[in-house]
Amino acid sequence: MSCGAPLSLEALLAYRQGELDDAAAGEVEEHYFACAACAAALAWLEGLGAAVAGLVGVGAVSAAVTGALVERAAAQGLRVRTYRLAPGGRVACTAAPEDDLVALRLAVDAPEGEGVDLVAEVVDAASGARFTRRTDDVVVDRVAGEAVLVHAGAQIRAFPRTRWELELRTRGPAPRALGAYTLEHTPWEELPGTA
Amino acid sequence: MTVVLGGALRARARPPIVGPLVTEPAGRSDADLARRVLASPGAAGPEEAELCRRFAPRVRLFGLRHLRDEEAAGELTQRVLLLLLEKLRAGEVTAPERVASFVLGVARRTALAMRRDGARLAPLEPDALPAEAAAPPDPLLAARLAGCLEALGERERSVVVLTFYQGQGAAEIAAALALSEGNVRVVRHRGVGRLRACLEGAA
Repeated sequence: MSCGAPLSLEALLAYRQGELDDAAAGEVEEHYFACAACAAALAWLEGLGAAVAGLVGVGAVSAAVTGALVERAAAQGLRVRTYRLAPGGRVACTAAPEDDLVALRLAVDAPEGEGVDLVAEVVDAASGARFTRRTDDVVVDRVAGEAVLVHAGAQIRAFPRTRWELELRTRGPAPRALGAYTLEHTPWEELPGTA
Repeated sequence: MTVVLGGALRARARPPIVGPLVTEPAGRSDADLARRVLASPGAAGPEEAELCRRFAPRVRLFGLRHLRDEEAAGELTQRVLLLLLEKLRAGEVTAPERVASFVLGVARRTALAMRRDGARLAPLEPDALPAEAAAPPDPLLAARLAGCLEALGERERSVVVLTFYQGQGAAEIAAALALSEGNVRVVRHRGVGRLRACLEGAA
């Protein structure tokens, strides 16, 4: 099964996402109805989309997203624990056994056209051990003015008692701090009254 | 008229979760199959089943794109394939070499009718309903995909998630993240391409 002029992945993505006008979408349809190879490629893409959505829908994916996505996840029945912080803010946080997602919504005034990195200095409360976790090129919801970071609940539950000093900064050789935020994480089972 | 569809259509057209892209070897063309059914109406069961097996996923994809609903896409698929078989058996498909265009035309008209008249469409004959069994999710493939998503760059993962979970197009994502549409398309294309390579490598 082969195709002399296969539809590009970009064309298939644009078709699937409804970005093509009627004429262009019609051309894609004429092609894949007559072409088993391109129909299989589109079916694979459809399967990928459904599978990614399925993983997000069970709280199995961590990513920087938008506030609208967090609200959609909650509306679809996911248990989302949300922490909102302004620059300079501090919060005591945890993840309950039933939490599917933990959403961190960091208010930030990110300059348009500049990328943003996230640097976390983490201190283990028991041992005092420190490590740095860096996340490059974090997308920012510019409509809401937030960096919206969702983490699988299971991932957060695995952390011991730790302090997370977060900093959002511009990308590039001379980064500028955009905001600092502090999370005091305590495992759910160590909180008073939860044992 | 009750048309009982062959076993091929009863097979689940949608994979439960994505794996590597698998293609199949070429065999007889769609037109050859249509000619065979036209030449032996009612006596070409294997060819009818093969035509249904080939066109079911294509019609379903069309239905998902235009009706935005898995159940409606499944119903569209049944209606279109039933009509295809009826027309072939009745000798009313005059250009078998263009059977794909015929099926697409039927799909367009049927989808339009479903959108316009939805509830007023005659119900399908019970015997014609495909007996699809819900395929169980494959935890191994889900774990592979989760690992492949984790391996993406941060921006790629964000755009892929917004594309497939939020159902957003490049323009919407670009507006939300203050990026250009072109940049979103490039990142989306790269992210999906890397997922494909990762899944194929994990196979």
